[in-house]
Amino acid sequence: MAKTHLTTEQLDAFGTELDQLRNEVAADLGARDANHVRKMLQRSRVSAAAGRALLMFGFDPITWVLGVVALAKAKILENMEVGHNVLHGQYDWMNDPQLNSKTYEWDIVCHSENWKQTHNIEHHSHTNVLGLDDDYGYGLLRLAPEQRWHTIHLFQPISCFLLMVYFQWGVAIQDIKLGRFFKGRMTIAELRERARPFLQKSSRQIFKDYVLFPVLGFFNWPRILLGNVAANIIRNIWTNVIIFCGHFTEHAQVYTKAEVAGESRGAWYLRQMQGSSNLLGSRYFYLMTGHLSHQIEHHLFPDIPAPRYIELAPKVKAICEKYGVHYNAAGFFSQYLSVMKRVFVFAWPSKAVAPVVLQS
Amino acid sequence: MSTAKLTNLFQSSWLRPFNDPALIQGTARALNPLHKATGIGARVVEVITETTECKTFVLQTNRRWPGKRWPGHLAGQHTLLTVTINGRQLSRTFSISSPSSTNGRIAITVKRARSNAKRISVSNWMFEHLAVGAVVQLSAPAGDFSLKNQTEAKLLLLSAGSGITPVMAILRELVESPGADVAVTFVHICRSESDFIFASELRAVAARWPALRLVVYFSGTQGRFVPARLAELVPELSQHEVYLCGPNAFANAAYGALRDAGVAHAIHQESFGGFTAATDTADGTSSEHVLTLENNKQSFTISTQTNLLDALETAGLNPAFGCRIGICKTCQCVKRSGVVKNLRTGEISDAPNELIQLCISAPRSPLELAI
Repeated sequence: MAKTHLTTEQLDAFGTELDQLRNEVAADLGARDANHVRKMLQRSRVSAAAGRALLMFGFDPITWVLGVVALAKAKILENMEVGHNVLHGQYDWMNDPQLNSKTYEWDIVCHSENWKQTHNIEHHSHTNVLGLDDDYGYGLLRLAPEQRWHTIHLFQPISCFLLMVYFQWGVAIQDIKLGRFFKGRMTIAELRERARPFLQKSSRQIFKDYVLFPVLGFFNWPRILLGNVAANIIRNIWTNVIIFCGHFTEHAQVYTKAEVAGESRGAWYLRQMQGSSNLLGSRYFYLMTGHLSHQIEHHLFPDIPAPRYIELAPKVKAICEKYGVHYNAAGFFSQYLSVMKRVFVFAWPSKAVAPVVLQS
Repeated sequence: MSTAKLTNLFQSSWLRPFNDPALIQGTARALNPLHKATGIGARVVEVITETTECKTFVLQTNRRWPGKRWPGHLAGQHTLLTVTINGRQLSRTFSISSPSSTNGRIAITVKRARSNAKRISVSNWMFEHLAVGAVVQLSAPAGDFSLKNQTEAKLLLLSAGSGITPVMAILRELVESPGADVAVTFVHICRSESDFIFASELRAVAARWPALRLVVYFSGTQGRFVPARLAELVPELSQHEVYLCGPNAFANAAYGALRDAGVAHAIHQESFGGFTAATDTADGTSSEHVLTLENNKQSFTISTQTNLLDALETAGLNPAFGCRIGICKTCQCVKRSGVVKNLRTGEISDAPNELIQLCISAPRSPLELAI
């Protein structure tokens, strides 16, 4: 599907309509949103306590499985519905120091400061701009013909699988920019400095899940250790597949630096819209994705509390239809299959396609 | 092992989640709402209607949750009260109108502000919605406006409007302290009898306590109060130590009049602060305000036409920033005081300690930022 291009006047009107939509929701934020995020935080804490208790005090495989599921669910809820959204500043208006993007720290090896740099700034400002948005392929995968092919990409189905299983580590080291170091553009001293928050955060996470809790379980330690490994991996896989469906689906567009130079607010909105894709499902599914099922709305309004995306979606879709922009939404399986298609197809060399020239 | 070392060990980040303050406080709060995460929890135990515009809230502060107990206050001090209004934690400073006490029970007296459409007024919300049983959060008491420095035998308590609240605390303290060898003149200025806060209590005290002379001036019927007239109302004015609280314009005029009348003793003054409409510049016209940074007390002049991020960078600072278009919140900081306008939404932030994004905020008054 080709990119839709709008004239300067259309882009301005388009931007104004979306700004207005944002202002309407922002003016309506209140106790409902505050109660939701507190409830989710509490639910994840209760689930974590239950999961850890089942792993620690149980003996049989059934309680082990239940414990793993409860702990994985706790981590998914905490990372996706609370952590990711709080770190975007979605709840800063509450003025609650414990739910503030400046201070919140989440249950994952990625340090919140690193995350805010790579995700909030780099990924959200430069969504799907090749060379600026490192989240497009994570420096490992070739997902569009515009990306240059290297022999290593032949193995990308494997690297894609490894990234899925170890996803928390992938995002944790992203801000160190190891690529620059290997190209000789970073000194070892600078590397050490950049890696410090990562080493500090990840060592504490490892200690917590793989030393402290197993030790507290005495003879039950192997059960706890394995359970914690399993819960972390389940969380990794789930977050990875959901996030991959956000920007790498068949109809998600990529952009070049030249295309986005000097773009207006309307053009920025249009790029966010065409570079993102939604997943359709039940309310519970939306919740367990941290509302990243609504990646389009999230990218238009990253600082609006995520549960609001559900009510924003029909309005955004109506604006899309009005301006003839494709609204990329489909079920999880069809979207994920189209992502996998890119992973396998672009593992092979293909000619780079010249970027589409703007009409206006 | 020393206590400090033990404390460090218990607070070590290696022991997460067992010593995670957010988790512990969250659990404690689930058990009892008085266990506030930050600040001191307090429950409203009584609401007294003082006038049609004014209510007193009697608060019982938390006594059980260790480390977050009310430390006791001096008469005349104030506290930063935080309430949750429609999901938002909003704070405002209130003078404590009760004298010092040991049972952790305090009173604050709140006057309804003139309504300002769209913006949430903490005072108005409290007046309309805060009821017995509700839980609020307090800071530890603070302020130099208190009786602790009293040296003179003759005291003048001078207040106007809602400025009576800290002065009343001082009077109540004087009445309660036995054998106090003082002569107190209380001059209060308000619009009319129906605006006279604590009227019946003040008259009752004046009737049974000969040391108190009460002078009430109703500006609604007697005309605007001229501070120079204080000398007529208070014999031997120059011999008094003064406690003064009221609207800024009144307080400044009164201070000048007192010094002119030859008051050589201490004049204790409490200011409720707040910016008047005069400091708010209409959009389009450019003017300048002073910006002060909390950490190094550095201050410089900035234009109302530029955003704070640009202004700080022009001044040679390097505040953290990200997208510069108001989406990533990297440049967000706490505004200690002053008014800013959000250039993206047009919202005005005028309450103290609100979070603002530097890249989309323009000054509308002198500012202090927690940078």
